[in-house]
Amino acid sequence: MKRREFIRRVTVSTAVAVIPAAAAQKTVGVLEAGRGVSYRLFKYTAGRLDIEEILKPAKWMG
Amino acid sequence: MTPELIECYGPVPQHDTRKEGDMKVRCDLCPKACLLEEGQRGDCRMRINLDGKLRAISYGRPCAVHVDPIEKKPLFHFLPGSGILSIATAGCNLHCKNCQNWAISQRNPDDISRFEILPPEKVVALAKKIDSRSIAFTYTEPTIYYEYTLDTARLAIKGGLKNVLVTAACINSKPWKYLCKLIDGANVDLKFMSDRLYREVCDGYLLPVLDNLVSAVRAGVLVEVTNLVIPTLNDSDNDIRKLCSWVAENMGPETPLHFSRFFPHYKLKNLPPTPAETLKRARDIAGEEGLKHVYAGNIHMPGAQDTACAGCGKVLIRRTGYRVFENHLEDGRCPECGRELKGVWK
Repeated sequence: MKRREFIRRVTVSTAVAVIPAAAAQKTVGVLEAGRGVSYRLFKYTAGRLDIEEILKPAKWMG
Repeated sequence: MTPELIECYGPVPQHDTRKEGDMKVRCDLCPKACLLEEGQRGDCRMRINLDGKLRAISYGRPCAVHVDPIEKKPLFHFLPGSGILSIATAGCNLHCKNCQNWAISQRNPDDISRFEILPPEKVVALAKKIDSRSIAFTYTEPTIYYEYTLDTARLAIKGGLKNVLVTAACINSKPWKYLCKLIDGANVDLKFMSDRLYREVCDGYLLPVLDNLVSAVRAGVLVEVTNLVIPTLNDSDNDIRKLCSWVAENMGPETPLHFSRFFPHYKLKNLPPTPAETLKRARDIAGEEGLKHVYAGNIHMPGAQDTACAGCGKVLIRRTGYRVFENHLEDGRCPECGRELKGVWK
């Protein structure tokens, strides 16, 4: 799969789901989705990627 | 009103409503005591009269979920150097003209909910998953998303976690005291020592805040006070001295006090940022009034965020920004003179 296609697919999937990572999963990359939101990408089984939002410090005060 | 919104309603609050007339409901949570017609929402935007019952529509629907350094709250005497899972829902019962979080505090919950539904049990599970030792209810006004705060805090305690509030504490005494039983630490904004300014700038009231500060201390909550120093509004020597003497007298001289630098925001863009000199002066005045732990925030000021022993003056915790670089505390005590430092350290 070409890199550009790969990114587009993951970006679309982040819009609909935040999937918790299983213990056996391994981080295979990080996707910066803009607006300060990042997702950790997990290779779950062959051919399938799961995603999880990375919690970062807030831009909000307090 | 969208069907999606109706489905997300949380439990009906039991403690803070009473019916007046047919379908009108008065909310007793905060001093504003909104009397709501059928379908009307309160001043806080998150409590609505539906079918004669008050509903907390932001229950389980946070608009912000983050992991912050606890120094960002700011809490300097509470598990220093730890990360804290921090949540908020939209809405607030105050309308501060200088609000730095106005994009979420002055919006309807149904307009900006970005996250999936996150009920209390999931918040606690998330905190454990990321190894956060505590949960902060913050960013907007946690006393207004009261039921969500309460239920999450209860579960957090069962799960061995601590609870933190970052609040303006403009809430009625009864629900506040009940909430304090579940809270370990709180940073309370004491914005002005003038009821007129509270009303004009924040659409709030001073006296409930003062009462709640005292009752929180009596309930055993570790309370730190933040005062945003706004040029021309509350930056005179007299204003600062009045606030410091009240804190020292009513909450104790070892109460941590944070003077925070103002930046032009939201509807107060006509005022300049607080000069560093003003914050230095505020710290000096606080020292004269007997306060032992006074900090300056929102500004780079070497030494102004360090915690020193109130007895011998040894620097116990050295900070820059939100980072802790040194922590010399031994079981909450100064290693030099053995004096106990007020706080939650483990």
